[in-house]
Amino acid sequence: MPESALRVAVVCSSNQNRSMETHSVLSKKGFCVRSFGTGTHVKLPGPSPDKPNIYDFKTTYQQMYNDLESKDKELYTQNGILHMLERNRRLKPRPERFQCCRDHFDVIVTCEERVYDQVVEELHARDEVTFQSVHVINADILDNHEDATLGAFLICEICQCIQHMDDVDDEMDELLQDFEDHCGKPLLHTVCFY
Amino acid sequence: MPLLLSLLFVTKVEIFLCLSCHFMSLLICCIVTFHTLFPSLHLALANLPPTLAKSQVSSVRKNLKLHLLTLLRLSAAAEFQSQVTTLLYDLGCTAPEIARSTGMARDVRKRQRDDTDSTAKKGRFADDDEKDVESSTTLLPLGGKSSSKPTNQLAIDITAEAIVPLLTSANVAKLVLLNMVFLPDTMPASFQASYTPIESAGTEAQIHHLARIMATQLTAVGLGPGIEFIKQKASEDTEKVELAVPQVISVLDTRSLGIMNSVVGTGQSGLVVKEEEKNVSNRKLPEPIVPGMGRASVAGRRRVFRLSDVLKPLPVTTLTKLSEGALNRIIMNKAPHAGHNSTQVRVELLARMAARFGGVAQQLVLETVLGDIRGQSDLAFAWLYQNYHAAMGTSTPSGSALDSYDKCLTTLLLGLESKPDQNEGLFSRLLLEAPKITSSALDIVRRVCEDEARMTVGMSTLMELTLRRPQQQLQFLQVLLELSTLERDKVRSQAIVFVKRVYEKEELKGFIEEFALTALQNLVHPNPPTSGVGEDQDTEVAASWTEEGIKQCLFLFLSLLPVNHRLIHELAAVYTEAIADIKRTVLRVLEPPIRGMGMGSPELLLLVENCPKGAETLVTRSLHILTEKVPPSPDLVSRVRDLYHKRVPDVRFLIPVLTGLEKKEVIEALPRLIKLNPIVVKEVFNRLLGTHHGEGGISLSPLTPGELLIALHNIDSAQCDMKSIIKATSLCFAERGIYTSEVLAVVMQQLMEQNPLPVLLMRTVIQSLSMYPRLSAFIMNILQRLIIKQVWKYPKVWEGFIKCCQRTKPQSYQVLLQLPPAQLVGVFEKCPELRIPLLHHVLALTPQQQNHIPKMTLAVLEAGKLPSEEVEPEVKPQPEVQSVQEVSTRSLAPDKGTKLWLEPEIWENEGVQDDSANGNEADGSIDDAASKPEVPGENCEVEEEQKTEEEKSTVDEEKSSG
Repeated sequence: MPESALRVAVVCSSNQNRSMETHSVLSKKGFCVRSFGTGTHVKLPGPSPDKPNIYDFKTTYQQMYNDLESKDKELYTQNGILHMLERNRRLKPRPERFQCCRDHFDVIVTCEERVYDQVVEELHARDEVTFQSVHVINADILDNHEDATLGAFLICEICQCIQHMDDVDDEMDELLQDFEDHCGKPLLHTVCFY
Repeated sequence: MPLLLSLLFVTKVEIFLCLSCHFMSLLICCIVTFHTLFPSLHLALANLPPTLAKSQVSSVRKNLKLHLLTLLRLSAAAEFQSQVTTLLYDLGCTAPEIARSTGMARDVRKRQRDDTDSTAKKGRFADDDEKDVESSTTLLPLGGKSSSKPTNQLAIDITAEAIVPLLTSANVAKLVLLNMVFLPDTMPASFQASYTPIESAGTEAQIHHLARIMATQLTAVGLGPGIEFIKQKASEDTEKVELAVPQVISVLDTRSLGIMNSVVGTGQSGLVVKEEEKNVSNRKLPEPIVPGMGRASVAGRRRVFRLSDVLKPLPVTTLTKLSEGALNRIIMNKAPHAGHNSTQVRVELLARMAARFGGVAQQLVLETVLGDIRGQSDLAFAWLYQNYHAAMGTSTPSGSALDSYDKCLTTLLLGLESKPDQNEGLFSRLLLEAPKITSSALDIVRRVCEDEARMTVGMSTLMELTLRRPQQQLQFLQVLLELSTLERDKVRSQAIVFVKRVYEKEELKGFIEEFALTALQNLVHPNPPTSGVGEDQDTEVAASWTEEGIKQCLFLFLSLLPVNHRLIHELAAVYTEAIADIKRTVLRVLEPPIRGMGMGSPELLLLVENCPKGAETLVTRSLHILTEKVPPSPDLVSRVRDLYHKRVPDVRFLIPVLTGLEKKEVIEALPRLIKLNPIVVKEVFNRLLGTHHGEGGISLSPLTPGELLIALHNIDSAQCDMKSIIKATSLCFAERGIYTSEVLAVVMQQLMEQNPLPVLLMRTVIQSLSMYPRLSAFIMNILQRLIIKQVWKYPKVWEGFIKCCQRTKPQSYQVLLQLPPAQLVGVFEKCPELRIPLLHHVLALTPQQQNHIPKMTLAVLEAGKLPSEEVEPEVKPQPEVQSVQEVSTRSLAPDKGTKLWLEPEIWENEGVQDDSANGNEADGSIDDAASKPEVPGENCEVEEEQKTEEEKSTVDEEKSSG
């Protein structure tokens, strides 16, 4: 495992902000990274909290962009949604749902506990085939632009450390312990198998 | 479940793995283990390792929660729903979550409750199920099955029921207060980490849970109404059950073990099986699988579980990759964990895998070992032992069973061999500690031994092996011995060193000697053996003995000689039969061993005493070697003397022991000694004069130098020819350091007093003079005394006398004038040129002095003959004076043109004639020799030589002419 490039998946709820921010940072650092959402729909903030924009996972970022632009360009430019979609659009065409992806990873990083639970549950629900291990790590990140950026750097750091490990399975615990002390957030971690 | 509890130092990941594995097994045969699972999970939860950090604990709890929720969804788990739910509450699960999971299983559960109420029904279902699963269980009597509810579970249930009404608030408060004193002063970290507020405190469910926990504990220590009930019940049932028990247990055993084994896999099976066995043996009554399976069947899962149905084989490449990965991780995990003997476990594990699986595992382990030889030697040994153990384990420990062991050992050795820098210690350690040395391993050792750079290591290892492995020692020794007869002398000599050390071992002596002797025996044949000693191809092709080939056969034997002196006789025996080339080589290499034996060796003395025919040279050489540095011991001298006198009258035997002989003996032997070839003669004189012995040598010699010279002069010419004597004396004169002018003066003095005068007297005088010109006064004195002794009666001496006078003029004039006139005439006849200078000398004297000279003498002087004949003075005084002066100036440094002395050529000629006439037998007497006419040609030749070498010492002349 350590020889080949580390395969990383970043998962948040809607595959828009936190996972995509991290995706962008990690891909710039040269990681083999993919990002996912676990929600049933892709939700973007709307004009008021109770009126979010809801898309399904088939909608491309471009389409969302066009849609929002046509709805209220001013608002969505101001709250940074358009800018975010613009960035996402450059990274990949459309959001992806974790539950639909059968590819294998070495590390899966989730951005909130609920997502973590969903990921672990999903992985448990699948039949194990290769028994290749995957580390699932949760780092809580608030869903706003600033925290997303900070979180992305933290995750990036973790991934860099993992990449330089000789024995990921063995050293993971200590690494996460260190990071917990370092960033002050509790990190959840488990091992699942494909 | 102790499996879970024992994870005191495990990491979180390991817990995950255990949980996953266990739950997986549970999902398949959950009923079997459910009743043991829950108490264990309770305990596990309360006893999470204190080493885990808070977030790790939460991760674990989350995981556990997830698994329990999954469990809850299974229909089979319905019976335990309440327990699972309580656990989940403990883990911080909310009611809706649980509800969501249980929803799907509820209906099933309801049905099952009905089933459990009716024992008869259950019995039937169970019976059906048994038939499906395992026909043998039909033997179970119905009554036995009706009571087949888990006994301890039953006891717990009964006790719990009894406790529930007792758990009133007052009682609980009392309990808490009573137990307060047992609480520790500080809160344990693990408690703090895992504590969650009890959500459902005070509810009926919580009270039941609490009662159940207490009941578990009570039952465990054998208290409570449940236990009593069970006991009672048990005694009732005993009769019925008695027969059934063993069968059920056996069924239970085989089945559950089978399942557990196949599911959990090799790694964990041991533990789980053990646990299962324990459960079975702890139970008083047969139980759980029957009702469990019964319920499962009701739930519609009547299919017999077969592992092969649910598993599909992994592709070979994946398998290899996985196992390789696992192995690699074990290998990489070098750092010892605190409080663990993980290093040892790791080594054992690796060794076992390498030994069992071979192939990649072996390769990896080998690489690891070779990568860090110092650090991984334990592993190497473990691996080796494992292989050996495996080989010994098979019924036939010989032959093919050892193959893998052999392969392992050779691979290790080869690996070490290819890494020459750091391995030497380990290389020999490996060999010394290996349980068995196979022949291919021995080949490797042999190869190492033949490599000059590493031969010491190889050979010392081989030696150690020989000394420490009695079972195979002859095999090792054979190799070592073969090495000691190799053609490459570095390897050979090293090997010999080690053989000698082994030779100290009493029980191996015979073998070594035998080998050495066999090698030695080869020398008897005129050609080297075709198979060669060792692997000498050259000799084989050449088919004649080369020096190397001879040494090959010889050296081992020779090196043993100093240790076992008896062997010398074997050598002598072979020596007598060997061809000349071999003899030469033997003599050449004989020195160290003989010196090692020393002259005190009784065997050597015995050899001298016996001296087999043909081995004379060997003996002589030995004697020489022995006496080269030290004077011979009396013992040796007496043996040699005996040998010389009784058996082999070869004077050469005496040479080495000359210094040990009596003076008389030496003098007796001298004539024969000096007839030997010049080099030997020189050696003899060196010994006699002690010139080679260094300090104290002279004092040990039986003859002083002076005595030696005198003895030489006194040799009867019947025994020895003059030439040899002359050579011998010149050898003496060559030692200027020993024959100083004083010594020579004494010698001349003594010789002169002898009667008759020795033939060589004047020669010695003249030679002394030429060596020490300052002796001339002394010599004049001698000459005068010779006149008194009527020197002219000895023709040889007389000649010498004249010559001497000639050389010592003008001092000798005085002497000449004292000669009787007749003899003076003789002088002038021989040497006419003396007359005129002498006449001038006389004329130059004062009248008083002239008066002292007899008239006759003056007449002779003037006439050159006796006065009866008329002699005219021919020469004018003037130029003659000049010539006198000339002559006098160079009297001691003779001129080339002048023939200054005669006697060497005379005697030389005699010698030459003797040699040519009679070989080396000196039968010709001096008179004979003198009467023979001189051979002009030879004379001239010698003269020539003398002329060119006049200035050199006489010794040199003698040598060149000899």
